[in-house]
Amino acid sequence: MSPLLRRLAPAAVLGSLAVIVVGLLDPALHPSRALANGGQVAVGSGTAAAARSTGSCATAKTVTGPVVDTQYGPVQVQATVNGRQLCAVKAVQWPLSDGRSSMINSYAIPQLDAQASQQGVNFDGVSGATYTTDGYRQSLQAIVDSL
Amino acid sequence: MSTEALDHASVPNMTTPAVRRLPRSRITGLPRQAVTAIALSVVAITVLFWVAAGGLGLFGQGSTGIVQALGQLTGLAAALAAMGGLLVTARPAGLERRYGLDRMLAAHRWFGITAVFTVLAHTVFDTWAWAESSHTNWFSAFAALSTQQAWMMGAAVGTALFVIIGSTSYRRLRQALSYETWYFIHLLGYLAVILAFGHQLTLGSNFAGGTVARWWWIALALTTLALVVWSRIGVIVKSLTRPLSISAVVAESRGIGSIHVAGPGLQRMRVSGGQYFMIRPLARGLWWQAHPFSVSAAPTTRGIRFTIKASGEDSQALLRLRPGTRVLLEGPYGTFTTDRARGRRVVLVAGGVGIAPIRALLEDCNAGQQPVVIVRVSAEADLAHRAELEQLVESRNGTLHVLAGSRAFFSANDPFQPARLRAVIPDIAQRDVFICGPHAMESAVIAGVRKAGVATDRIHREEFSV
Repeated sequence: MSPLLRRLAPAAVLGSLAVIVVGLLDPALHPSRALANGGQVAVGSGTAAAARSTGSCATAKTVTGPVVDTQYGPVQVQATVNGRQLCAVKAVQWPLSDGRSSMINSYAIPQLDAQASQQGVNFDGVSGATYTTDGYRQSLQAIVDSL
Repeated sequence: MSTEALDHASVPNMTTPAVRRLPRSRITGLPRQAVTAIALSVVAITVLFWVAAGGLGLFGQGSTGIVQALGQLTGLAAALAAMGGLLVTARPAGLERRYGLDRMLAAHRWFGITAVFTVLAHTVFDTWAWAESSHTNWFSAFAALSTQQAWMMGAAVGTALFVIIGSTSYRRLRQALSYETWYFIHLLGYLAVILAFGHQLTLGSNFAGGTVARWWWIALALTTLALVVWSRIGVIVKSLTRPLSISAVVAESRGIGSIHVAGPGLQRMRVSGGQYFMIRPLARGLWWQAHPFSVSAAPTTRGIRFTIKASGEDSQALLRLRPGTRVLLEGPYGTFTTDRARGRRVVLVAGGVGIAPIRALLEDCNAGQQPVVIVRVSAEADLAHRAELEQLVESRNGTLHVLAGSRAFFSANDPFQPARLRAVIPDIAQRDVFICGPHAMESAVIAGVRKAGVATDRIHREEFSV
């Protein structure tokens, strides 16, 4: 092995290993797999809903639910609907008033969005974000009731 | 060996009719106050965004809140330190001209150490906070964070790379590795910073929600990226489009030789005596290594001369290169120039091959500066460029003192005792002192001239390349 290769080898091995591990395991690159593994989704997904917006959902309209006040702040959701069918749901407002809420909700909101888009009003919810989950469900229930 | 050494007889096809000195590089860098102001505002604005996102409120939310706040702050500190470290190691000209490469690299080390320790603290705090708020143990919390949250595997791997880079830079471990092995591992720092960036935007509670803060963070990252690309890639593009090659290799004294570099790449170059370049010879087996060497004569349109001691494998290889070999020069670097004396009289002290930058500094002195040149060598036969030194000293109203003797002899008879210095140079307290030589000698000279009355800010040493 030439001196160059010998000295390059440790860094090359480490670098490739790093890229492979992140490429194979990082949830951001595998939102679908993260979903399949027990309802957990990547933050900032919305991809689950996007995948379902076929055919009829392409002509869906957007409905915004009421603002629901929770102990930590307001929650409001918006849904795209086609007739009585929910195509996708996403939160447009959630508690950010304090650092802890914003940390919890930065995990919770994307999961709630994905769950609600998949499962409708009876979505599982996120433990550790009970208040946000309840507010989310109420706002979404109001949308469903109005259809 | 006097001025003939500058005469590049072997350079074919010199189209410039008259030989003229290349313009000196100017101290045009950013003012120190501006650099400090920019650095402080970046930190202040980032902290303000954190406060605006409710960061301070966390301290009122019990132990979990405090741990979360510390996790966020250490995360911000780690990211800022990493950006700072990248920025100084990219050595943009505006900073290098002001601080010099040696101090930039010292700052890089400081930023690096800060980044490694704060990122570890950040990992611990956030795992702790997540374990608390989701009622699990640390292990599950860590696993959940890194395998279920977007870009967290990237962050975990980036952190691991940071730790590896940090520990291979720990002095003892670093000495066990060859320079290049260490260097290539160090380059993984770019990868680490990129891998860790994603989670800052998706999970950083300051940057995931608030749009202004988010754009601020993206702007910081893009600015760093732009400066790194501009400075690092710019150097490569410049050396490729304006080629330089070796025009002559000359033996100067026992174990010391010089190489002369010429070509179209000299156009638009600005170089002062005392500065140095990273030389990368485009020759088989050598192209992947760059080493610093000092310019040893005023560079002209005909070429730049470097004086090199054949101490290691690489410098020996450099002195064996054939004329015509392409080289890439990166630089000039360093603030070891006569500008620092602001026209005052000077003392120039060289040890061994430290004569290279001292010889070039001497040429940049004017007669009003009456340079006193002190050269310490182990034997007269080791003194390179003697004839040039004598001629330059004479034309600049100066004097040359050659101290020949072994290190053992000098450590027993310190030639840099204040009394001796004052006897030989009565006005030494009014002079600027420039020193380049082995570390021990530099320390001896600095101690001596300080006691002889030279102010600290008038003592200038070249710390990087000898």
